[in-house]
Amino acid sequence: MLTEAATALILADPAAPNARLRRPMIDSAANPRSAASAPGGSDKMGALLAAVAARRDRAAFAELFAFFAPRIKAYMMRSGAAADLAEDLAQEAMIQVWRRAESFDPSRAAASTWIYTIARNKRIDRLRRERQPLLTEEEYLGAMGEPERGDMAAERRETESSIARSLDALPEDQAIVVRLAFYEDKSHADIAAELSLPLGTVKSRIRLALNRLRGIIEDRVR
Amino acid sequence: MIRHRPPEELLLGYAAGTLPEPLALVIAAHAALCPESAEEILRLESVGGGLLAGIDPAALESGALERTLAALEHGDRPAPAALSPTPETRALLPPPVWPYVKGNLLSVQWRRRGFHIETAPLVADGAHRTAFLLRVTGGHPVPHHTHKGAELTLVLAGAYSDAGVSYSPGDIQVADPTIDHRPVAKPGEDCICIVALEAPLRFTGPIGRFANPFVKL
Repeated sequence: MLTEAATALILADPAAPNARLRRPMIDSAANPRSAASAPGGSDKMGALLAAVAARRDRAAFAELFAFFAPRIKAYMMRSGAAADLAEDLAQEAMIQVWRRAESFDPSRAAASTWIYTIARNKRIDRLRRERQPLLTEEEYLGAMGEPERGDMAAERRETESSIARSLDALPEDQAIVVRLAFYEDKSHADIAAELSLPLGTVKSRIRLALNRLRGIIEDRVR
Repeated sequence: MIRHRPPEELLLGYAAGTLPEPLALVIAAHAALCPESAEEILRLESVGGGLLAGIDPAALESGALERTLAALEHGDRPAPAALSPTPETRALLPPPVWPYVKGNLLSVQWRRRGFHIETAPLVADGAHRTAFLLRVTGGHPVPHHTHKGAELTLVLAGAYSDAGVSYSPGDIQVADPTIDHRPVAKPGEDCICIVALEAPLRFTGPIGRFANPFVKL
């Protein structure tokens, strides 16, 4: 079932300025499938990570595991890993979450973003046998100069549930290219081949989708 | 001030983890110098985080949590020794590049490629994609060349101009295969860049053509 806002989004002219579209999406009631109402609600996950960092809290880790491990496994499978390899990689990623919990900085990113980067780097390392040149937190901070204010980060955390919601609300032709780009290790050219679309069309769909998602993010961050 | 930033496709490629390592290295190095690009990557990574939270989960095998908890018992691996780069490494290279020179700029193998050009390899993948440091003496050109794939150039020191556009430290130039160009280092200081290539260069000028068989960039 589509929310009113989602319907408005789908019916909207894709070329229309984002400003007209942003508000309704953010203020709309949460889609029941979205992360906002799922146990992945970001603040809770961040608090669990903090508990792991502060006192090696196994119960907190078990909760993180219950939410993220099956999702990391799904992410690995979408990237082409067979089920048992994906299972191993999900466990390895979660072990890294345990070991590196201290380096999670809730003022920089939401828990699911931090865990996503761990899973992504694990995928590159194991499925592609390359490494991802790292932008660690310190490196980001070095580039950023002043550490940002905590309230900005809190707003960014909120955006993640908005993102999950708006992904559900994206027109299917845009949602599919974003999912392929993020999940399946596909270059824009691969996506074009797979969907039998011209490369330019794939690029413009990704740009449209990102503009919408980014509109949401910027709205919240600023 | 950074005037030339990479197209969004490349920042997305970094955030999604789909860029080949040599290209990802140049993007990471640029982002370490450019707060705007770093912030953009973080935003795109939070799209990745939102996608991960919203994905349909895949059922785990039974006992997965217990096995993982048992693996935690095996103790934390000692953290790898922190990389402490030498002062000259720190002065020239952004942090993402440090591991590729083992923290020591003096350890790289510069090779002469022409009268005023030297390169030092950083990383190559199995598909002829490479990233390397490029040093061009101030006031001198890189001979006319074209590429089969994209060429990413990030300026680290000095500056150069190409077809009337200047590039300074932190700036990125993306040259696609249709470009046949001859960038020239600004007089005065050596221009040092990180370059990533999707495919080997093809030199097109009279001297360059002669040099082709010897140039394996």
